[in-house]
Order: sequence, then C-alpha cells, then structure tokens
Amino acid sequence: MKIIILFFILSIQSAFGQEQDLSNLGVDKSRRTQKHYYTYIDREHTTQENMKHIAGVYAVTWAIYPLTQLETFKDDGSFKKYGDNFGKIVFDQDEPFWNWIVHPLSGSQLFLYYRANGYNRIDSLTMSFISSTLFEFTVEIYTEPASIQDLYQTPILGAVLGVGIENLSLWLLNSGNSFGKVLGHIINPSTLFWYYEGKISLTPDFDGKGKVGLNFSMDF
Amino acid sequence: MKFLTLLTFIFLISKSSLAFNNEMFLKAGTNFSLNRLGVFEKEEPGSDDRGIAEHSYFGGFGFNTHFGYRWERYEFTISSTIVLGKVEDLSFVINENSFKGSGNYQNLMVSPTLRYFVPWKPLKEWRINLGTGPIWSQQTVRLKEFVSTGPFSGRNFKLTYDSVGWGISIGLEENLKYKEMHPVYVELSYVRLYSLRAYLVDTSDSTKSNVLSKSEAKKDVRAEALILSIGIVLF
Repeated sequence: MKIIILFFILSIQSAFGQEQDLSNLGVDKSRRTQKHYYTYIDREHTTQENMKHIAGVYAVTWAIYPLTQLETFKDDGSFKKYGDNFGKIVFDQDEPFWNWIVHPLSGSQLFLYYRANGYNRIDSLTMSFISSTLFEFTVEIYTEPASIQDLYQTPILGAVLGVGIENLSLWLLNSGNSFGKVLGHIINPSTLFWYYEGKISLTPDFDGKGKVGLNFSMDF
Repeated sequence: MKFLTLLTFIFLISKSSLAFNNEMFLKAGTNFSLNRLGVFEKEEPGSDDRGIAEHSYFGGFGFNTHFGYRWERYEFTISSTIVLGKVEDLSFVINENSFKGSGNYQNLMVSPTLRYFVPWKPLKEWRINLGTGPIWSQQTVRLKEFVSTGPFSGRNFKLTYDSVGWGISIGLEENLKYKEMHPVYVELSYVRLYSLRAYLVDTSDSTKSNVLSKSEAKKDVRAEALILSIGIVLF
C-alpha cells in the first residue's frame, strides 16, 4: 500500500512583495535544487517486524556465504565439521585484512540495512549483533568454529564504521550533484532499495506573487 | 553518628546525578600504552619452576570500543581494546621450535567490564569511575627478523598466544545529561595477561589460516600494560 503524506509545507513570505528576484526572497542560489532529501527516520518496531528482519538477513547469509567463499566452502566445509564446530568458540588466526576490514565493512552494511528500515542507532547495533551472532554460530561453523574476533568486531566496529558511512553518505546524497549521489549510494547501498524509509520527495512551489514554498512528501 | 551523616551525604549526592542512565550505549576511542612483554623460561632443566627470562618494553597505540548498558551508578560493557606495537630481541618457543628476533606486536583484548561511578565529584563537570573485569586476549607477534631452530625463515610467520588475565581501571567521563551530547571519557587501566596456548601460523596465503604448530603455553608469555584510553560516547 502506498500512502503519500504531505509531511510538511513551508511557506516563506517575501519581505519585498511583488519582487520576483529569488535572491531577495532569501533563497540561497548557490544551492542546487534537489528532487529528494535523504535522511533517517527512527521509529518503533513490532516483535513481528524484528523477527521478519532477523529471519530475512539469516536466509540471505546462508545464500551469500557459499557464494562469496566458494572455494573455502567446498574445500573446508562439511556437515561433520558443522557438528564438531557447533557451540565451539575460539580466537581465529585470520589476517587483519579479514578481521579489521572485511568483517567491520560487512557489519557496517548490516548496521545500515537496519538503519534504512527505521531502527535507531542503538537498535540497529543490537539487531546487527543478533544477526552476526546467528551467522557465526549457525552458518560459518560449516567451515570453521565461531570466533571471538568476528563475534565482537563485526557488529561493534561495523557500527562505528556505519555511523561514519551514514553521515558521509547523507552529505553526499544531499549535495545535489550527480557524482555525490552516485558515491553516496555506492558507500551506502541500502539507500537505493525499497525498504529505505528516509527518502523524502521535495517539490518547490512558487506562486509568482512572491510566495515560495517547499512540499515534503514521504513514501512508506 | 559522623559515619551515618557521611553515608547520608554520599547517598544524597548519588541521587542527584545528572548524567544519562538506564540506556544502552556505544563508546569508542583511541588508546596509547606502555607495554611490558615477558617470556617465561624453566629455571632449571627438569624443573617446573618458571621465571621471566627476558623482557621487552615498548610503546603501543590502538583503539577501544565499549558496548553496554548504564544504570545510575553502574555500567556493564563488553569492551575491546586493540594494542599495536613492536617487540625486539625476544625468544619464543613453540613445541621444539624456538624463535629469537623482532617483530610487530598486536594484542586484541575482549573483556566484560563492570564500572562503578563514585558519588564523589571533586571536578564538577566530570564523573569518576572505577572498573574491573576478566580479559580474554589474543597476542600476536608477526616475525620480521628472526632466527629459528626449525626450518622457518622469511616474513610469513606469526606466533599467536591465546591468553587470559584481568584489568582494573580508573576513569573520568563528562557529566552530561544526554548521550547524544557525546560525553568524552578518559580512562587509565592496568592489565595483566598470561598465555594459555601458542600457535605458529604460516601467513603466506592470506585467504586461509595455516596453523603449523600448536602447543600448550601455560604462562609462557606474560604481558602487562598501562593503557590510556580517550574517546567519546558515540550513541
């Protein structure tokens, strides 16, 4: 169901009556016009919604893990190993590239997925923690035991990185230039998908008599 | 009577705390440390007595994160501190292979930590806290220049030590009403770690971890560190 709500109407009364020079109307000409404004709108979620997201992310990890690490999955994985590794927790011997770059990066995208779905920052971190813990204890054990580094660093460093990416991507997306928008979407792909709740349509309004306005509308 | 008055006074002060509480939070920052790494060696052949054979003192830096819940006077966090540095002229033994040389040191510590915010506030804008907790750690020495009694050479080896220990800390945090105001924290902590297991790892293929040798290493390596952490409450 698509509901369009008129979110906010802002009218600025010009101090100079009929004068139609935009600079006299207080409009910053140096700013580009934008069709959309990107932000995050935090809201409450039901338990059913939380379960749906956890289940959805869990299903995606089962698909992504073998696809992204096909060789490891084939060479090192087995259901016997799954049984042996179940419930085991160790310090892994992975290189910093994996523990300090790949895992925090994937954690940051998980954090931004939940942010895009309207979770506030602390709830996004908590949901990421649950999702990555489920992955560590029930998916990755097909090839290796759950690791302390991954359990902690994926959601926590992911959230720290995620906050930085969130701020940078919003700045880029709201810069109004196409390069900024493309880069903003690349570093924060969740802003491209249907579930992203922070995309607000902007419609400029000018009545020709000195009144200018901006209509905000949001789809959810 | 005086004691009761003092207790009442402390209770009243503790009730007038303005800082944020009853919330989950994440704080993160950077840290600088003075580290001491000691390698244990049996004092006499055949004896179980061990003494520290060599020490290495070195400076380190890194970053720390703390995710947890805060009540009015207490907070409980799952904390992580990473320390990076360089060690020189130390000997390590894993099974029958000994290594003597230098390398890059990396220590990842994960710790459930309990902190208590003391009611006494000599600095108006800051709260004092005391913290403690057990530590699980992985210490890594990435060998760069070394000699070995085994068939190992080159730069593609690292020694890792699973360790346990404990830490205590004293800290200051800005006394702000909302965590969204990003209170700054400064913490000085002392940690002590003992090794449990040692691994010799071939790092030539970064996509796979290739453990060449594994041994029990109870107290083979002892680490101590004085760590100064500075950061902010992110959210």
